[in-house]
Amino acid sequence: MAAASSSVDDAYDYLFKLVLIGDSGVGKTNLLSQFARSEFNLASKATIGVEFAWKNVTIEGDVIKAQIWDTAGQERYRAITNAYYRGAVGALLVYDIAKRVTFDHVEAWLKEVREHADSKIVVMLVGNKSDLSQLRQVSTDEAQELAKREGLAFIETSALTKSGVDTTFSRILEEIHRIVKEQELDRGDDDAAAVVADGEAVVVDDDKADAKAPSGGCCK
Amino acid sequence: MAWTASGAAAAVRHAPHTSSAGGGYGGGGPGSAVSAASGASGSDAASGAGGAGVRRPTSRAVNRFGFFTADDNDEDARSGPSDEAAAAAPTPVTRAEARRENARTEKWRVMLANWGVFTRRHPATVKRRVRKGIPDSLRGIVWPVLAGGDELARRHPSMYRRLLMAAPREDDFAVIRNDLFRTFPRHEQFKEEGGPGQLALMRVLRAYAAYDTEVGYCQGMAFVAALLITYMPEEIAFWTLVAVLRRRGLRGHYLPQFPLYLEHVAVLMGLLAKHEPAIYRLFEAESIGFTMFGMQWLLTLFAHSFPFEFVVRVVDVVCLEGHKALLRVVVAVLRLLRQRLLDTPGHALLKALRTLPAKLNADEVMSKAMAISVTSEEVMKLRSAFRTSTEGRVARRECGRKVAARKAAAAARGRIAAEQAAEAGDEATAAAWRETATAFDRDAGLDDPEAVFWADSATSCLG
Repeated sequence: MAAASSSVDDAYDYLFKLVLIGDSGVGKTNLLSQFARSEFNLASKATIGVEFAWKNVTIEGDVIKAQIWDTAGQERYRAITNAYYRGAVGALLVYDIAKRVTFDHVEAWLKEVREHADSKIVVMLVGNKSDLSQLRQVSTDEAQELAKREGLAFIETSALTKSGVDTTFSRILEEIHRIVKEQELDRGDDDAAAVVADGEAVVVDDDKADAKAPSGGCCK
Repeated sequence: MAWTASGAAAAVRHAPHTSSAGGGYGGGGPGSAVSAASGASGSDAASGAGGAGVRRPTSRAVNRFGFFTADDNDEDARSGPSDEAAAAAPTPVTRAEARRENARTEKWRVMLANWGVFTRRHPATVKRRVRKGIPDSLRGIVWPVLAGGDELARRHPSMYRRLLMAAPREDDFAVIRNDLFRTFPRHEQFKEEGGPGQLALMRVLRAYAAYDTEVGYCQGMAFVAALLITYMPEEIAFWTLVAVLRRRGLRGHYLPQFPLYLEHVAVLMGLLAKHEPAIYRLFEAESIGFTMFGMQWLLTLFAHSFPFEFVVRVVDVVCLEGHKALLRVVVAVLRLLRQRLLDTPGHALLKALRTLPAKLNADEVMSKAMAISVTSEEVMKLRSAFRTSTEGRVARRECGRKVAARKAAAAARGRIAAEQAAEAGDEATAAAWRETATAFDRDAGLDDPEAVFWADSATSCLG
């Protein structure tokens, strides 16, 4: 269960919604718990449906509230979880470097993201379980190649040792922050359709309604 | 009776260091079912070698349900998220509670010895007693009886073994394998990777996937299966899983596209609007969807992250009363959280919905739940309203499409298996496949009749 961090009450400048996606068992939940609570849980349970966590980070003086949705990885759960892509400004697409098939499914996940998320969503490819180097089935070069071809950022992590975890989240959040700042400059600061500081809004163009999208059909 | 080997599960729950009540459940009983129970409770943890097999000796403390209790010095249990604490909480039993449970057990023994007559003459008494909680030492016997799993096991004596020979879909099986060590990882029986508990879980899930090719395996089912396995031998657990899903109206929760789950969420919103309008309005205002916190409530019968003593109470009523009881429990849990939720600022609501369960009092929730009036007509009305909505129509259409594809794939696998058997001249295997297919046919129509569109499953395919 993803308990929210204690910083929930703090004021923030931007709210960024991220989603964690990828095959079942690649380590999404532990990546999130390492980032949000510096915890790796050896006895973690399969995620059913969706879970979430918050964490506040500071980028260039702005307090960013990251709202991160963790999703069940089994293919059939996409019918439920893809509603959570809406309003997301970033996606971490995770595979397991020691399990080839999870990398083979990356393209299918990308298709899913492109179908259901905003077109401007920042996607980062994350090869998790880098501590299992002796069992590696996906080379760094190959993943790098795919990332380049698809225009994604790429990193390898180990949720177990926490190697790369903070970098992953800070890189994607910094990238989103940079894009948001550019949008603000382009539009002039008070054109707030896309970006609302201190508010509930999200950064993508489709306004606040989208922030509410997952629950709008509260049947999901 | 087929499940006299249930020693392992029962012994785990009554391990000596759990409570003073453990030893009190023994003693003889008149019926064969009762004898099985007393045999189980008479053994101690060290001799719990039946059913699931021999376990490593362990000096670590478990609570009465077999979950390792949290320990500050314990590296494994270090600061897990709050839900870990829920199942791992020690469950001390006071002398008064032990006396009460023993008295209750005696009543149940008498009732079980005359089960057929008793249920015919005093159905209301059975219902009342189930709602008050089945004595834990008898759950392994009572759950299959209530849900109908024991009857299915008797009707199909060799089917479980045959199902285990069927090749599962590779994608289903891959997810099953992944979930084995992520289902009750802090439970004595399931902790060991590749241990007997995990293997039993794998077999039950594999068999189910082969038995019901439309559902196959859906994450969430492992918690329900594991829950059953801790109380009964795996073959009975398998049939009880079948019975709970098919006869108690929960199977559609796990179908591709989750058609029944979505209907039940719509029903729950309708029930909340009626019984808990303040919570309903709060969810609307804060854009909280049920799935954000509650999908695991329904799909794991609360077993994913609620205290185990509460979970077993839910299973008690679901085995007898089915999905309607489950929906009532959901409303009751929310009702109990009402003030807390209304006092919580919007941004912290989800956190509140996810962290409160550890504090639930099972008796309180169950009595609240059963006091909530939910009629079948009401449920049907809300369900059909959802079915005719755009979302409902899409879900049903997509489900139908995916199920058809799964059936076709299974049929193809079956044909290949048949050809291979024929080529190998293995007539025995071929006959077993044919017989299994016939058994599938016989089981058609077990399901909730109103759920026509997914009622005719589990009949046609072998793989």
